[in-house]
Formats: sequence, structure tokens, C-alpha cells
Amino acid sequence: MRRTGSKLWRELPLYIMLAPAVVLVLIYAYVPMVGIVMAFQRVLPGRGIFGSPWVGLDNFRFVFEMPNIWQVVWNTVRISGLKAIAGVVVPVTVALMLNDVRSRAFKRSVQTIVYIPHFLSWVILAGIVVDILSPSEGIVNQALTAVGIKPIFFLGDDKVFPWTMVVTDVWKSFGFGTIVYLASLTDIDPTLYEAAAADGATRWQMTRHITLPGISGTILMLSTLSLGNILNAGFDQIFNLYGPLVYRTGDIIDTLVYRTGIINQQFGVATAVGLLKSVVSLVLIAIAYKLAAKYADYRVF
Amino acid sequence: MDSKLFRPPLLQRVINLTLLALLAVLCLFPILHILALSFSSSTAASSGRVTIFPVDFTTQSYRFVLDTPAFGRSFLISLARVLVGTPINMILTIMVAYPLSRTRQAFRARDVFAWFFMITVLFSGGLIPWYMVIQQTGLIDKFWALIIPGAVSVLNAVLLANAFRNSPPELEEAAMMDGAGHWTILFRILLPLSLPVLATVTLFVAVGHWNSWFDGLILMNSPERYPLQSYLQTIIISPDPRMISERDLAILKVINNRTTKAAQIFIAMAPILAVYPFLQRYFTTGVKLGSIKG
Amino acid sequence: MTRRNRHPRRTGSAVRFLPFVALAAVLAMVSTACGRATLTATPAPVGSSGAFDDLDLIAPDRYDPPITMDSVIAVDATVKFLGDDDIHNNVWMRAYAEMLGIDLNYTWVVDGSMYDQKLSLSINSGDIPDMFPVNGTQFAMLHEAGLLADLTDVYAAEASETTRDILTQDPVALKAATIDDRLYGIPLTDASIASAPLLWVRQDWMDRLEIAPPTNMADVLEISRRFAADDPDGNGQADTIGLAVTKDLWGPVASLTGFFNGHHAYPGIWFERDGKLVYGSVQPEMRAALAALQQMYADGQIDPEFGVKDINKVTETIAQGKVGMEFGVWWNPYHPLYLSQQNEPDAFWTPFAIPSVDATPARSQYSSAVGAFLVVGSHYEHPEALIRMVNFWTDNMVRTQDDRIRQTFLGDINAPDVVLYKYTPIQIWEPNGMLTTGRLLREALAKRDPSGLNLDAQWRYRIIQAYFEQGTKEAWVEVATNGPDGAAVILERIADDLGVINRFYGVPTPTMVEKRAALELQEVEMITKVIMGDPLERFDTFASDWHRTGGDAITDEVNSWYAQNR
Repeated sequence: MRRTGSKLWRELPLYIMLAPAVVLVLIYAYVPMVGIVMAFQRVLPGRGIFGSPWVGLDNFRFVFEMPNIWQVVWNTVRISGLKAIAGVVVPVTVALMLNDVRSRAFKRSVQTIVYIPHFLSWVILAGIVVDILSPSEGIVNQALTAVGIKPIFFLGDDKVFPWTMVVTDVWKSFGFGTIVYLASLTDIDPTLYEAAAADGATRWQMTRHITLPGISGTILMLSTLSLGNILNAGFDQIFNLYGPLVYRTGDIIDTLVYRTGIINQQFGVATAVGLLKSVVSLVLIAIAYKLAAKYADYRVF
Repeated sequence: MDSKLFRPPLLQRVINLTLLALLAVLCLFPILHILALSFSSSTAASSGRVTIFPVDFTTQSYRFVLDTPAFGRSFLISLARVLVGTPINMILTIMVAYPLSRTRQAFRARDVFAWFFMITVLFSGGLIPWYMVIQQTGLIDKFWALIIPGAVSVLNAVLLANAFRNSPPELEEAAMMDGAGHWTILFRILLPLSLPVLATVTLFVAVGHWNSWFDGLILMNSPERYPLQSYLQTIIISPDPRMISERDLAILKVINNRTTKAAQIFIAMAPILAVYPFLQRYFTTGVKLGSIKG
Repeated sequence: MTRRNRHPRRTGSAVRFLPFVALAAVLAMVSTACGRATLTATPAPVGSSGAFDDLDLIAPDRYDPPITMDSVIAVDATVKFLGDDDIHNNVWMRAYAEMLGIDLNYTWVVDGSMYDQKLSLSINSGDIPDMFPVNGTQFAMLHEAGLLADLTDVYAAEASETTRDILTQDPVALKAATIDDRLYGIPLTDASIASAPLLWVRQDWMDRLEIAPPTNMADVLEISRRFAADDPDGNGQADTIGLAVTKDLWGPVASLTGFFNGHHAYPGIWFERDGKLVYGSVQPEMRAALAALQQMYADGQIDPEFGVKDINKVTETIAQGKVGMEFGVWWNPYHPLYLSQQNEPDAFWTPFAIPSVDATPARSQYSSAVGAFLVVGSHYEHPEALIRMVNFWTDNMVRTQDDRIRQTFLGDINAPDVVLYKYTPIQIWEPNGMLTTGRLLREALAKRDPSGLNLDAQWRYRIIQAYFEQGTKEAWVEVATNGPDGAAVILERIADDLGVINRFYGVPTPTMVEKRAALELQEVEMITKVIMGDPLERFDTFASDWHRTGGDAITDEVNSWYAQNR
């Protein structure tokens, strides 16, 4: 390789490429980040960030003293944890299934169709979901009773509600992952399969030893990135679908904060919660990153 | 796993197809329902008789919607937003992804910038500081407020960076031997190779712009500047039931009018549904998205 | 713990202009019944200069040279305009400019759902409007931050007789706007009685099943039983229930408030017992009501899925003719009850006062309708301008029977979708006004002489006549609300002596701020679960928990507030 000039000269194009984005991010992400200090203030209108009185950890105390906070945190973690797992398992499975389909027309149509629920907001979907899951008239329960299972009150039974949230959310969003995984699948070197077939491997063995490892990188990347969302269990969805019957297991951090913080205009508290969530996400991502690096030899960067 | 050698047994294929078909139906159902509602009469809709076929077919809702100036106006604003915002976003995404995809030897400060961007994904000062910055940069109530503050999407850049990193190094090495600089490598080699990922990310960006509603509602000073989804929010969201007063009767009726809502929703979705299948063919032609080794 | 913490965008109610939209629909049907000669062409906007001269307007002193005032306003998607008007350029803006010399300028206009957030963001970014509406909580916070102008002196100097009269009709109004004996805002008053619950029943179902009007709770339970069991819609299917309830339990439609009131329980409000204020939801009277509801649920008279159905979903069940009884407020026929006719053209509902569970008449609870205040930023040099604008409104709009003024500023009968007064945030309605106009209308009906009525009331008169004399079925909506036996009459009786008003109208107390959301949640949860079958002891546990985990502290705070604000 020829060396023309210093390393910096060769890196210059990279800096130039990054420049506009860096400027925008500095202005619109880092400058606002200063506002994190509001987590330690009692935010008064009009006083701005530096004029409001400091209250140390009072906002955090308020958060941890909210009734049921630990139940709510558990609900949040449970629901988003389940969503994260399902959010990998389902798209991968569907992608694998689709990959086996020979008809390109079928493949393409299914691929298009599964991405569709993504476009509907929860405000719209909520009404439809309530109808579909109705214990007396909904299609799902009608199907269940037809095979002899008693109707389940999906949205009104607090034992079932978290699962309902997971399933409906996966249904809405698995299309995205499916596309990504499908694309990734086509990337796997076909000669590997030929070699395996020559060795007499079964399809299941091929899946386990070639396909899955082949997309493991994508899986890890998407999972790690989604860990940043771990404490956002889906405000829009839950807010539109929950109710008094399922508060015990369905109330999440964001709905709790919504009822308490924002309505009373307590921005300090809202910021404190945001900060807590960010820190937890950071820790989790760091752990995941290290684990992936160590055991799967995979680095996101 | 396309070749004849690996075709699964018939039974498995049938099950496979059936399950996938079922899944497709499941996903299609709400759209068909909304479509059916939009072509049904109000009476049929409110008595719950509409499932996936229109009852008392009528185009009245569509005529009403297309007659409402607010709808058309916000539609055009959203269109402009997508057409302007997507290229800008993509250019920035590409220009962030490429440097981040370089090795540490080629780009010594890579990790610094990686952290620089990743931190913004996790930490935020909240709504007030964000609003203040937008206001201080003179973007409140401007069309550009819908584009500039969100123009850098870190997660998409990471996706793209991964794709870049997984293209065969031989091509790049060969190019560099011939004296190619970064720009050439990016434009002549990586971008063409990563077309599927690019298409995917472009779709995500476009859809993101099309679907976003909160920024329109909060950053604009007048409902005339609302993009489509922001406008839709105003006719879909019910007021807090404890606070509904007689003054809300007019809006309550609008919110309760399922056929008009359905028509609006469907028209709002239509462009994406129309465009998406065309982008589809880029997705499945040999993309290098994941990585096998670190 | 008031439930009616209204938002500033809820600026008053057009109690008389009310459902212009509904009026339009009924008008359309009535017109076809009595000939089309009625609606004229769409009116043009009023207000080129001099156009106000021939209206007899009482105008306060004009600013010369004119001053500007920056304000903000919330609108919703149904706000419409005449001709080329828009929110910045319409009859109200022109009137303020010409008649008062005030150039009112909206720096931003948002959808009502975003008003609170936009206002917060705006203020926190340093943009404080000169004059703007706020709710109780914002009012207190802004005052604490020193951002509100003291209006005591300008009010004393400039408020007109009418203004003072109207603002003092609701004893709570000015008090709520006063902090430390100084006035910081103008309360946006309205008819508080409008939120009192009534009982609405499908009269056609009662007729078909030959049931007499309910006089007590036992009758109500019987109606519920029969509606659920005896196929009142005559379609041969067991698809009807007895009582409509939403998952939120309270609200203007399908609420449980009225049912509890029938048992002398007053959930969600503070009332006096033994000289002190107590919170209604933990009082022993709740128990009997809960037991009755539990029984109704067990017997299938309440929708088994009510716990997941919000107001829109319940509206659907009403439209589908699945339910025939609900506790709501006086304007329910306009929405959603009129929907019953979509499937059953003969459907109509009648209102009843809340029946009682025993010999003591039931009282309906309600809260003061003041939830919003108009305030002036402390930086603004002309706080008296607000008072003048308020005077302009109260002197000219609230009590006038002059049709030209009403048509110009409030709403033209020929364009019922265009609600003109929504262009200004200053919407103050006379607390007693609603009942007065109702009385006038009923007198006219009794005399069969509409001549003394203003245009709007004349229309209502005609609609009601159409019902009785021509059998125009759709007109039942107006008969049920404003007719001789309509909801308005019942509200009169409630206002007289059969009401229980929420005695706490202050800003949320410190413990309320911390605990109210959680306590209310537990309350709704408990009630829902008990209705669905949990043992009644759950109520007792809830009540004692409530006291223990914050309720007692809140009660003390409320009472010390009460001691100073009786």
C-alpha cells in the first residue's frame, strides 16, 4: 500500500463525512442533554433550566416512593423482556419459514403483508383488538370455544394481560425483523449447505449449524440495539388497551409517570425517570456487548 | 437453501405454507376491516355489521375526506417531508456509517465517534430542552423542524455500517491498491454492493417520516402546518372521558364516525402500501447484513 | 380530589348554542317535514370596518393608539370559518381591533389535546403570552413562579356590573382565582349544574314491555332485569343488557355516578359530614350500591366486558341497540343516544331524576364548572385590557336576546357548523343562564307563542313542535333535553334542592399531588373488581387502606383549606 502523506491526511475524508452529522447531533442531541439536570430540580415554569430550585435527589425519592413502583418496574421489565425475546424468535422463525418457500410470488406477498400492521397506530388498532379479543364475540374466543377451550378474557384478566400485550405487539412489529433476517439469510454461503448435504446432514442439522449461526450476527446486533428500549414497554399500546382490571400487571413505568408526573406538570420527576431508564439501558447494553464479544466473538462495532 | 436437494418433505411444506398463509391473513385482517369500513354506510358501521366486506357500499366517506381541506393540505406536507427528508437523512446516514465501518487501524478515532453517537440513543434531556433548542435555532413553526432535528438516525447508521463492514475486503483492497480514496470506495464499491440494505433503510426512514405525528403537533404553531399523521391524531384521539363537556360534542361525533375515520386512515396508509412492493425487490438480492466474525 | 379538573381549553360551554351540530341534523329532518323555506344561503363573514356600527354593542373605552396583545388558543378539528376567515382573521379579531383598539394576535394555535404541553414548553422556553387560559394547576404554578399579573385593582376599577354579576353567581369562581386576597385570573364560569347526573332510559323499550316510569331504585333494578331478560327490542335474541357502564366508571356517558347517588353515596367529591369535609368514595353508603351492582353483574345485566370498554365502545353498544339504560348528563341525546335511531327508527330515550333507594330523595352530585382561568403575564403593560375584553363579552354576548348580535358573534343559524365564539378564549357563560333560557323556552311552549324567543330558541321551539304535532321522530332529541319534561326541568329541581356540590375546588394539595393518582387508581380498580364478583370486604379494605396511605393526610389538608375558604 502506498503511503501518501500522514495518517491524518488519509483519515481526512472520514472526518469530512462525519462533520455535518456531528454538528447536528451536537446541537440537537447534546445541547438538550444539559436538561438532564432537571432531574435534580423542582422545575418551575419560566425559570428555565438554571433558574429552578435544586432539590437534590428529591425527585428520585418521589419516584421510588410512588405506590406500587416496584410492581410497576417488574411489569415493565417482564413485558419488555418477553417482547424482546419474542421479537427475536418470531421474526427469525418466520424468516426461516419464508426462506423455504419456493414461490417467489408467495414469498414477496407474505413479506409485504406482514409488514403492514406496522403502519397502524395503536390508537387505531386498539378498537380492533378489543373486538377481536372479546370473550363473547371476538373471533379468537369463538375459535377457542369451537375446539372446546373456555373463552379467555385477554384484556381483562390480569394474569393474561401481559401476554396479550406481548403477542399483539409482536404481531404488529415482527414484519420489520422478518425483512432484516430474510435479507440476512440470503447472505449465507450456499456452498456450506452443499458441503453439509454431501456429509449427509439433515435439514434440522443444517438449520442449527449453518443457518442460525449465519444470522447470529444480525440477531445479536438487533438484540443489543433493542436493549436500549428495555424499559419502554410500549406506552402507546398499553395506554390504549389497559384498564382497571389489569392495572396490577399492566401498569408500566411510562403509564405511571404519565398519570402522576406529566399531568401535574412535574417535569423534574419525568426527567428523573428518563435518567434512570437511560442508566439502566446503558448498563444492560454494556453487559450484552461484553457477553456477545466474549462468547460469540461478536462486536457491534 | 433453495436448491432441490434441500427441499423439505411435502408435509412440512404444506404446514409451512399454511402457517404462513394464516399469518398473512392475520396481518391483512385489520387493513381489510378498515378498508371495508371506509366503503360502508355509517349505520352499518356503528351497528358493528362490517367485518371485511363493505356493507351498504358507498363512497361517501372518501368524498367527505377529500373535500376537507385540512386533510389534503396535511397530506401534501407529509409528502414534502418524505421527499425532502428521506434523501437528507440517507445522505447523513451513509456519511456516518462509512467512517464507523472502518477498522480501528484505518480510523483511529472510530470508537470515539461510535460512543459519541451511541450515547445520544440512550440519554436525552427530555422534551423541554429539545424544544428550547429547536426554538433557539429558529425552527419552531417551520417545515424544516420536521426534518433537521431528526436528520441523523444513529440506529440506521449502525445497520448500514454493519453492512459495509461485511462486504468482501478483497474488493476494497484491490481498489485501494489502485489508488482509490475513501470517497471512491464508498460510492463505487460499497453502495452498489449494499443496495438491499440501503433500500431497507431508505424504507425505514421514509416510513418514519410518514408516520411521525408528535413533532408536528408540538412544533407547529398552527394546525395548517400539521403533517398528515398529526392531523389524524386530532380526529382520532378521544378526550379524557372525565373532562368531556358539551363543547366537545362536535369532535365526539367526528371521533365516533368510524367510516370517515376509516377512509382517512386508509388514504393515509395508501402511499406506503403502494410504494413498498416496488422497493421489495431490492431486499432479497444478496445482502450482507449480519456478520459472522467480529 | 375533584374529578373535574378541567383544562383551559375547555373554555366554557355553549350551553345554549350547544349542539349546533346536532341542531343542524335535527333541523335538516325538520325542514323536510315542514318545508324547506327555512335555511338560507351560507352567511358571509361580518366585519369590514363600520360593520359593527349598526349593532347595539356596549363597548368599553377604546385604546387609541391601538395596543397589541399576544395570546394563544386551543382549537379542535371541527372549528370552521366563514368565507376566507381563519383563526387570525375573523369577526372576533376585527371586533377587538375596531371596538376596543386591541390587536389580538395568536402566536400559536394548537389542537386541544396538545394545549397543556405546548403551553408548558412555550413558557419554559421563555415565551409567555400576554394573555392566555390556564387550568387550576397551571394557575398555581405560574403564580408561584411570579409570572401572573395581579388583576385586583384593574378588576375593581374596570369590571362592569354585568361582569361582576356573572362572576359572582358561582360563589366559587372568584375565590378560586384569588390567592392571598389578590385576584390573579378571571374564572371562566359555566353552568355547574350541567354535570349533574340523570337517568336515561329507552322509553320505547319500556313501552313495549309495559313498564311504568321508575320512581325508586327498586324500579331501576327491575327495569334492568327486564331489559336484560325480556327481549325489549323484540328481535327474538337475548342480546340486550340492563345498564351501560364504561371502564372508566365516571364521565358524562354510561357512568356510575348517578347510580351511587341513588344510594346516597357521592364518589369522587368532598362533602360535609358532621361539620367536616369527607371524601365520598370511602363512605359507608358506597357499600350498598356496590352490592346492588354486583348482583346486577352476576345476573348478566351489566356487560361482562365493561371493564375493557371505553366510551367509544360503549357508544357502539348503544348504537347497536344492546342497552337501554344509562346514567349520564343532560346533553346525552345529542351524543350518543341519538345513535339508537340508526338501527331502530322508533327508538327514543327519556330522562328521569335519580331515583332513590329509600324514602329520602336522591341528590345528584356535581362540581363547580370553573376549571380554567384567563390570566395576564406579569410582564404585560396593559392588564386592564383583559378586563375590557371580558366586559365586551359579558355585556354583549351572555344575556343578549338581540339576534343580530348573536348571529354575528356567537353562531349563525344558517351555518350551524361554524361556532363563532370559539375564535376567542374569552368564553364566560352565566352559571344560571342555562336554566333561565330553558325556562323561557318552556313558557313559550306552554303559551304556544315563540315570539319572545331569540332565533336559536325559536328553532328549538319549532323542533319540539314538530315532534308533537307532526310526529317527526328525530326531534325527540330536543324534546328530551329542552322539552316540557326534558332534562332541563330535572336540572332545575336538582339546582333547587336536590344537589350535592363538591366543596373542594382548590388547587391539589401537596399530598394530593403525590398520592392522588395512585389512590384514584385503586378506587377504580376496587369498584370494578367488586362489581365483577370480588367480596364486598374488598371495599372495606380499600377504605381503610385509603385512610392509611394518604387519604387521612389529604383529608386534613382539604379541611384546613376549607376552614379558610368556606
